[in-house]
Amino acid sequence: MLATRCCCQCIVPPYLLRHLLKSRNPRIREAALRTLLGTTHLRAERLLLQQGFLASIVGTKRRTIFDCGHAEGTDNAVVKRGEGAPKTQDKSVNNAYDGLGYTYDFWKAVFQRNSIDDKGMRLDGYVHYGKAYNNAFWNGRQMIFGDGDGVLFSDFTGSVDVIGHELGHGITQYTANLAYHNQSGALNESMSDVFGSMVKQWHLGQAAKAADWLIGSDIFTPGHEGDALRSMKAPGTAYDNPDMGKDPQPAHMKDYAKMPDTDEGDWGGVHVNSGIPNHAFYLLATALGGHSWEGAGHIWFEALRQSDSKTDFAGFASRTYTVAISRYGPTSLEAASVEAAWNQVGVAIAATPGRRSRTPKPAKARARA
Amino acid sequence: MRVRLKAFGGIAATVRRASIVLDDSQLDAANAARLRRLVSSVRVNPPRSLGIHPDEMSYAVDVDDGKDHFELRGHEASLTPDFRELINMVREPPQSPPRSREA
Repeated sequence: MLATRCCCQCIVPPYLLRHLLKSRNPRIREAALRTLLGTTHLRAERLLLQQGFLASIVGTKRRTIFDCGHAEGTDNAVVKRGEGAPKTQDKSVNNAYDGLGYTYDFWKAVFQRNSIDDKGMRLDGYVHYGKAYNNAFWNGRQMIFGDGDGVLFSDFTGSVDVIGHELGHGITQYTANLAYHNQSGALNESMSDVFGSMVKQWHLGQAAKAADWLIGSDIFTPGHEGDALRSMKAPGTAYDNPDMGKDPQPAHMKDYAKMPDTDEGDWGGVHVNSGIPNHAFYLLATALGGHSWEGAGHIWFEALRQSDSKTDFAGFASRTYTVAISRYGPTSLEAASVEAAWNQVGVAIAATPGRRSRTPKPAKARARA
Repeated sequence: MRVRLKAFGGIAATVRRASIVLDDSQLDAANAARLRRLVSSVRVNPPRSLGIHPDEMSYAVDVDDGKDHFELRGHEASLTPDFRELINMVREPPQSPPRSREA
């Protein structure tokens, strides 16, 4: 009764309505379904039902691309392309659809992971968010893309590694759920750069040594001077011009930026200090040769799975080393290369059985406003 | 009333952004009143903080009305309609007055 009244008055949020669809009470299920289909989420939810929510299809791609119509919200977004539907006239819709597909395929083929949550989660992308909106982000359930201002940034759907990066945040959310602050937050950002770069390399069939290791190189307007948002190969060199300033990423712990855990401080420099684990991954992948996702990628992802929300750089480094030993052996090239990579960026690997800690001396961190 | 908008975060969080300033003296009477109403509304009903999502933008609106000086804050996904309207008004003032940009 309560559920029915709430549904009719439309004060029950859609996530609760979806939960009510699983109720044992058929009246509650029916009321929830009726309300869902009668709200502004009509199109989205109808597609959701058609595309497998009731049929519980697992192990298949279920992409849906919505058009926000330049509104700064997703409630009134309109479905533009569902799974298997033909291309539309809208380039952003097609880019988002393709990018979500490459990312899904990458995770399925390389890590045998069934979507973000490993349970066949739908991949929903919202394009044309806001007016001249200079961002793309993961909101915990969906990917949001802005069109860019056309001055500095172009359409954020135009970059496969940006899409892989944002969905990477979803992977992290459903694994270690690294807290978005300080070192765990920088690891969170770095994992997304690692996954985003691997998705692009996998899509292009590139070997680690042939890749550009840039993040976001495709979202700058053509005439603008700027290579990318970040460089995993050479952190701190992605851009340097009067409009954007200079890329502040460090490549070594001696340059770790101590920043406030506030929005002004980038939550402790999560987009700044991610340069350190980013560079460690680059060093490992290129040392091992071949494709980044074959050796280095598996070590990194398994270490992520063994991490928790508070894992810091040293804790993650130690996990990668332990994973490399358990997968390839203590005298393997992989184990030695993991140790060397972290050593080159100044991150200590803790002592493990049969090994004493060999620690690069931590340098004094730089303070930044 | 002088209002300054600053934006933080996003996937391009490290890229320099200018803050945008809007003074109600630049607006006609109706829009100046609208600006003051939005500021008052957001101050009374600030967005609920739901925590930050990865790469989500956040905003700070610094308000100086001559007597009082305060700041309004919110994250992209949890902005109230009035906060969103306030941000858009500062970004694109209705009369397109000359705005000052501060690095």
